[in-house]
Amino acid sequence: MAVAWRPVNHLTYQSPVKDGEKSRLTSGSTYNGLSVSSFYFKLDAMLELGFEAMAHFKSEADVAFFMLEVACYTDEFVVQDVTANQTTLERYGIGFRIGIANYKVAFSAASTLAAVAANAELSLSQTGIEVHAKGSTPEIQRILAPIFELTAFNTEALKKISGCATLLADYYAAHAEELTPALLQIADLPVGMGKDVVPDYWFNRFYSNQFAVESIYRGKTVNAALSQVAEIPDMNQYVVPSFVNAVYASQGITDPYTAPNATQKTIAGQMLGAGRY
Amino acid sequence: MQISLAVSPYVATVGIVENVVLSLLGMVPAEHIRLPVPAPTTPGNELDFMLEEVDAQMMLDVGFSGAVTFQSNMKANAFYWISDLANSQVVNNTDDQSIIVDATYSVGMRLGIFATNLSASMNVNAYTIASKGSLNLASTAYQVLVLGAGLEAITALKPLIANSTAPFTVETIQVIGAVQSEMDSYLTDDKNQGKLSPILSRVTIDTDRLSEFSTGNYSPDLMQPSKAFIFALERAYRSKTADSAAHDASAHGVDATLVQQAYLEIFGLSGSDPVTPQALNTANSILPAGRI
Repeated sequence: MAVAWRPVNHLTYQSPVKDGEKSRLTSGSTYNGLSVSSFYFKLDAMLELGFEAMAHFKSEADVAFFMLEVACYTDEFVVQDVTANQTTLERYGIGFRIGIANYKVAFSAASTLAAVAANAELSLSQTGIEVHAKGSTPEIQRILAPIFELTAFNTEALKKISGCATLLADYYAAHAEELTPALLQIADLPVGMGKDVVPDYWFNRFYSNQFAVESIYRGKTVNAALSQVAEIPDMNQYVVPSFVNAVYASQGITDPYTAPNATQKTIAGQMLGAGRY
Repeated sequence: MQISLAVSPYVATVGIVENVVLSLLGMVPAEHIRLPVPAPTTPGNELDFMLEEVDAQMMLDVGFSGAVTFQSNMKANAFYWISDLANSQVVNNTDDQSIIVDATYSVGMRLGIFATNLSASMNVNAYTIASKGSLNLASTAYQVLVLGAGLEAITALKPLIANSTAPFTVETIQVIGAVQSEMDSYLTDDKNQGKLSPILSRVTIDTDRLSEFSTGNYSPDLMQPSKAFIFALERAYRSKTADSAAHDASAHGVDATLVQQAYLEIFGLSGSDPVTPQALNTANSILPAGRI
């Protein structure tokens, strides 16, 4: 089961349980170091994250929205919502987010922030920028001041962002105890609690098995099959990657980059067809 | 058979079951994916470096979700690499009711790189990406994670933090090289040993045990329940009862007992129970899996 973190707006996100009922992960990384992640979003996702100034790009065609999150993640919790049958991880931290809108630029030219910055320099009117600080103290506001003062997203801005990130990391290293982290990201685990207290995942297991055998029949390497799962998550939220790996192994395919041979494909085809009469 | 899988470091209590490796949820009931051994408190003494091409799923598993979100929105052909500089050690699992045989814990630095707009036939590695990146032929991005190291490790990483919003170029490779040697000395310095807390990075699982725990100790060969699962879904889709499906099973090379088990597990049906609309619905939603 992949743990795919996505940013949330801590001002509007409703955690299904109270703080005291969350269980801290018993192992894992309470401190991840400073993390810089860039996301590529649609307008609705940006608005959901609270980048409200982006709304005026609604009428523009070919807009690319980027969100850069620079954060020190502090605590991670498992949250089990028994009524909704949903298990979620929550990640807290301090840091900042920058939303960047960039329009009338071909995607191929706009696919990394650095490329956006280079383009923006050519045409300042084609970019928009909005900054939010998270889990912040007056001192952090001061550190991030150069970012709040940005008027355009260009290579100069990139340098300032990097500079602030470094300062933030230093500040975090010295003052970790005094900070109040905000909820920054969540990851839904696509498995519920099942009908009893002990989770039962039969649906995931049958689904993953079917997925694995079908992928072998189609001659895909396990790597290729699972990449499709990661890239088209809506259709494949029930796939358990480790189970798919195990099914491939049971048919003699243990290397993630080796495609099934003709015999293996035939056997998979027979397994799929055995009940179709 | 034993296979090694990269996992997220998360171990947690799920329902009433403690020490569950979250990455493996869904393989077998949670009580069979427990790792009750404590994580080592000091790092091992073998420092390894590896750079390999991985799939998008692996990027997610090891914590680079930003890159994949980006990719799934861009709908472009993408390549992913992971470079690990890590100090690892293997700990055997003590729980014999778990499919986890042993676990690898690491401290170190992990670099994720992804690139789009590359020709699929191009023989690429991080170094070619870097040179293409500098020529702007390919779009690249990268992200760095610190595994299990203390706050002081930030000092070693500073050059990369300063560089992390810039293009991935040959210079970046040089910065990474410099940071890696800093990390190398940080990780091997005696005075830092107490500050390093290794985190879970890989597990070895036993597919025979997986099959046994999936079938109530009936079959150690995963291919048997694998066949029976699909057979049960196809027969139920045709409104056949558990008894009817089991009766025909062996003629089609499928184990009858496992077919009965499959009906019970996925549909809650046994014997001559008629196939319910709900069961039909379940079969209908599982059978198309993988047809993409």
